Amino acid sequence: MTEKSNQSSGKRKFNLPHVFNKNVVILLVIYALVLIYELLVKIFTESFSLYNPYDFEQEFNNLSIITFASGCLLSLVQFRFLQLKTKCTTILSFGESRKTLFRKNFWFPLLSMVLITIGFYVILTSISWDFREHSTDLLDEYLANALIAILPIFVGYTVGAFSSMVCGKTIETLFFGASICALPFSLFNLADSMFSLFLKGYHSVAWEYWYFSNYTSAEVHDVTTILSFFDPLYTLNLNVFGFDDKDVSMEYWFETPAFYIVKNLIWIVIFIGIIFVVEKYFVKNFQVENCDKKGKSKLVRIISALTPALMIEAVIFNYIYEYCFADAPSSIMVALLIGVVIFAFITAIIIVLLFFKKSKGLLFNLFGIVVSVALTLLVFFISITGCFGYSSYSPDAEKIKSVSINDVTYLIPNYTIDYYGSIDECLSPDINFELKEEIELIKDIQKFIAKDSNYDIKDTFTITYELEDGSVVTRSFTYLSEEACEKIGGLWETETVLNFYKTILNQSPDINSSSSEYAWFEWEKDLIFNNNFKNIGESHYDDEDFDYALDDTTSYMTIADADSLVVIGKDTVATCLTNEDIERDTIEQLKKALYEDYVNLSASQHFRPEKQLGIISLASCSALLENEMFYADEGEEFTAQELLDDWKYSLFKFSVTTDMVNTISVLKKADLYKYFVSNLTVEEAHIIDSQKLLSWMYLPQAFDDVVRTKDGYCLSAMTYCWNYSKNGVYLQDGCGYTKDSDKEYGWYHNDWDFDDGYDELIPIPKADIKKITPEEAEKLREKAFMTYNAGNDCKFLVMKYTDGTANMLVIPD
Amino acid sequence: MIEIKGVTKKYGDYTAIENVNVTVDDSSVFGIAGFNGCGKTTLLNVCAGVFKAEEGAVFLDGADAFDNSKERKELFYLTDDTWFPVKSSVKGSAKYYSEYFPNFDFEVFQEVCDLFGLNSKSNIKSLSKGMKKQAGLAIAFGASPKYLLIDETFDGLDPHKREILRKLLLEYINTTGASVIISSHNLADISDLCDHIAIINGKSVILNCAIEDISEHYRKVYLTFENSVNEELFKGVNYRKCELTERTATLLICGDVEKETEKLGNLGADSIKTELLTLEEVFSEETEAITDDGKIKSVFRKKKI
Repeated sequence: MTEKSNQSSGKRKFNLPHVFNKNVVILLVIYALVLIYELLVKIFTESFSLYNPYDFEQEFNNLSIITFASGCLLSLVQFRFLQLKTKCTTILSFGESRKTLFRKNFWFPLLSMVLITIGFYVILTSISWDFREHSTDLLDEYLANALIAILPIFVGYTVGAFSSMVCGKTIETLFFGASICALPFSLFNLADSMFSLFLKGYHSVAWEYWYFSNYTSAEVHDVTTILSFFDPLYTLNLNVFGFDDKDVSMEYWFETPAFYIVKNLIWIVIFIGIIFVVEKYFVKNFQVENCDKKGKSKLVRIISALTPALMIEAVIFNYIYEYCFADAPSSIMVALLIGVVIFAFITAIIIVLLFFKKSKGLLFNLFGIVVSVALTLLVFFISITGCFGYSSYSPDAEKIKSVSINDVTYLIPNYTIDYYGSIDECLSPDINFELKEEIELIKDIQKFIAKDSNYDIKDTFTITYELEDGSVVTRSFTYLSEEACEKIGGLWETETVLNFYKTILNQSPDINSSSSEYAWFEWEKDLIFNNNFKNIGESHYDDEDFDYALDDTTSYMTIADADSLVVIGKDTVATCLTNEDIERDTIEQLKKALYEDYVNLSASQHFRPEKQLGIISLASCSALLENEMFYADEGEEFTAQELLDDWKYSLFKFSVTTDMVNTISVLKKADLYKYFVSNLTVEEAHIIDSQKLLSWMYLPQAFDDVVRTKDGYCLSAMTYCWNYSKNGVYLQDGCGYTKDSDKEYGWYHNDWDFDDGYDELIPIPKADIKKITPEEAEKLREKAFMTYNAGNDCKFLVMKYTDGTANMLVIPD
Repeated sequence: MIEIKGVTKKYGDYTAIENVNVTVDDSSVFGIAGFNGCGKTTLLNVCAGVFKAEEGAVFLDGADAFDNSKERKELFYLTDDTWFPVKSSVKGSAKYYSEYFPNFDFEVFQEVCDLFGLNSKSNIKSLSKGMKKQAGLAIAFGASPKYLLIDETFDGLDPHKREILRKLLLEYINTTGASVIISSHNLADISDLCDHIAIINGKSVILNCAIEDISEHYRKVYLTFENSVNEELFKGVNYRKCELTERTATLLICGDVEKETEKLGNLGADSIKTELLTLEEVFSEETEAITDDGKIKSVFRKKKI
């Protein structure tokens, strides 16, 4: 007809720009925005001296999510033609086979995206590297991060492409894609909820780690962690940067770069396999006829129905779980994020129901719902069978080198967490038990807890067996029964624990060091090292509540260097004696006497000190009271009395009972015994009959906080009591006596707001409250004690004194 | 040559076309006619390899068309709703298509555009339906395919453009020896243009023959008798339809027309007259698409404006 134009090549050519440019542009824009943001963060943090490597690393947490979302988005763009019937028809009529078309649209863009993403991660790793005190090799980090980058792209792109292929409409593609992505999570979540109940594992921790935790806590030894390996998306929320801790033991192998490299490589191989399966069974049979049609595929309908059904079941289960066990969300942020995810999902369901009526079949697929119920029942069945002995398994005693338990809340002598629970925060060592009989004892405790069907107390109890070959076996329990607590409490009488206290009471820090704070930590380190203790509380650094107090006043809180004493009587009036009031020698004698007495104290006497006289605290705080004002590191101001309050709550406290003859002898000799004798007169008293308490976290607490000098000068006074009963009712009231900035000391009344919605609630609506005479109260006070252990039925004695203060004691049954 | 052998295509439980057998020779234009939704587009989609037939197959010079990139390089399928790259001009679209058709000839493309009076620099978005059709046709001819499939060929084109297209197609097959399949509702255009025609009625092909053979297959015979007649009289005749009045009978016969006419001549009619059928009449007869005037009149009988 005519001569062929020069523009015609004579061969079919592959047009790079048409396949490549959309993805490159979109991806580059996304990454450029992220990069600009990160650089701005860096510039600002440096400019305003806000540098905090941890904060900066947190910025990277969502990078995998961005990569994943980019993969999804780009696959939707790349395979958009599958939703446009005319375009799809045209492209297919061009003569390329479906397989060729898929490969061109899948592999080439994916590989180009992987390369771009790796480049992006390399840049960010360099920035991150510049920010941190790095102990890892930069090349190691490049490799680890590059591999970590690839998986989200693979997952996102594959899911998006597959969804596009089997769905006729964009809305369905999105819904189906979300369902596929959320399916492992739904199963994981459901399993987690059930395992945590029946295996007594980490319910809230699992939620937290699923979402946005930085995964650095030691409390992850749970079946949920094992499950996480089987979910490729689990890696998305992890902090992929900052592998600074090179010396992680095998116990924390899942926190190492190696773990992610291996895991991601395995999953990448799996996904490549999945892609080939998709190519063989779905691509080949792809029918353009289904374009523009509403989810006709059976697979689409089943998965679309299965995921929401599982999620809803998990949500319902969790609700029951929370309701029954009065569990609190692990954090507001986690609760919020969970809420957002669930809200988004439910919103999507509502949108489908309202606006895409023909897509209702996606959600109400009978088979999908039946499968979800069957899966739920299966998980339930596995859970109630104890997961085949997972929770009760412990290694053979001969193979065990040592055993450690997570903290010594149960073991610190008569320290009571009703005093803010501070001492275990302040000094909670993980004690290593190496003696065979102690190891057997712990094994028995584990077996008991695993079989125990009572869940009285919510607290974390972790047993870690270190074996001779260096490997580690860990089991955690979140719920404990009363009896289990008592058994754990029995460990207090073991030789290892007694040695621990002996060490604490007799070792001294090097007070001549450059800074007293440093000296304290040095001492701690020595203490740990010399005594083969695994750890002593990290909360010096981590716990926000104690940041200012501990940072600045740690040096005053040493027992070893104690020069001060606080004596608290059963009327909870605390008398503070500084170095002007008490000889150093007396304190040393007191320490020795306390140890001798504690060696002979039984667990029952420890937990239920019915012959209690009061509590004494040791500290090095004489200098504290000489200063008017203190300044903490972060610029916050604290008065001496505020620090004293912290000090009072944060010190080692020793319950003194009439059985402790050595201690009483020293106290009497030094004329300190008189501070246990109350001079206050009861004006009004009530007995509150408590119901069985279920939460260790929300123990009933009652304390007065009156700090006076030796001369009776009141530094501050507060009194409040609160209680969390089975019915979830809070009893709470507080009133204080403190110095106002402009006025003299005066009373104020508090509506304590410890947690959401817990306003003043006196009296407990459902509690049995009986008024008694002051005389009866005085008598009852003899046997009452200041401590309380969760899980016991008991009564409280609430007394208001004539001077306006009040306190609450526990009356034994 | 395009061979459609025993093609059956289903959408779920619904059978769109069933056991279709058609052969399109080289240098010929094959027309597909049928009422709306009868399966014309489905058949073309199967021919183009877009749809996979449940049964049977389409062969392009002996090779299966489905998922056969080698043979389908030579095939161009112009759909009724042609897709053009977003925001592109006519020429831009041609460039896009040229990437997939190695023999694309831009001079042909430009000349066809000129014939249609179409500015190749115009943005596709600004074009009317007919102009988009012209653009698609220009690209189709530019692609120089050996097999050209055009759905709803004349849809949206004015009479002048139809004539141009008709001539272009004839010129194209004469020059290139291509096999062309067109579908259309406009039977007049098809009858002028096609060598062969297939009429699809619902699922299957009810007529598949050369245009010139249609007159040999269908005949209307008018018979006048001295006395009144009834249908019993025509018992031995193979007829499609019979209309009787007092003394006259009108029969539609198909198949071996000569033989049947001879039979009718032996029935003693006073007069016998035969008449050829137009393609429209054949279409109506075959598809039973008879308009009920009474029903049409009754639609608006209650409507007084």
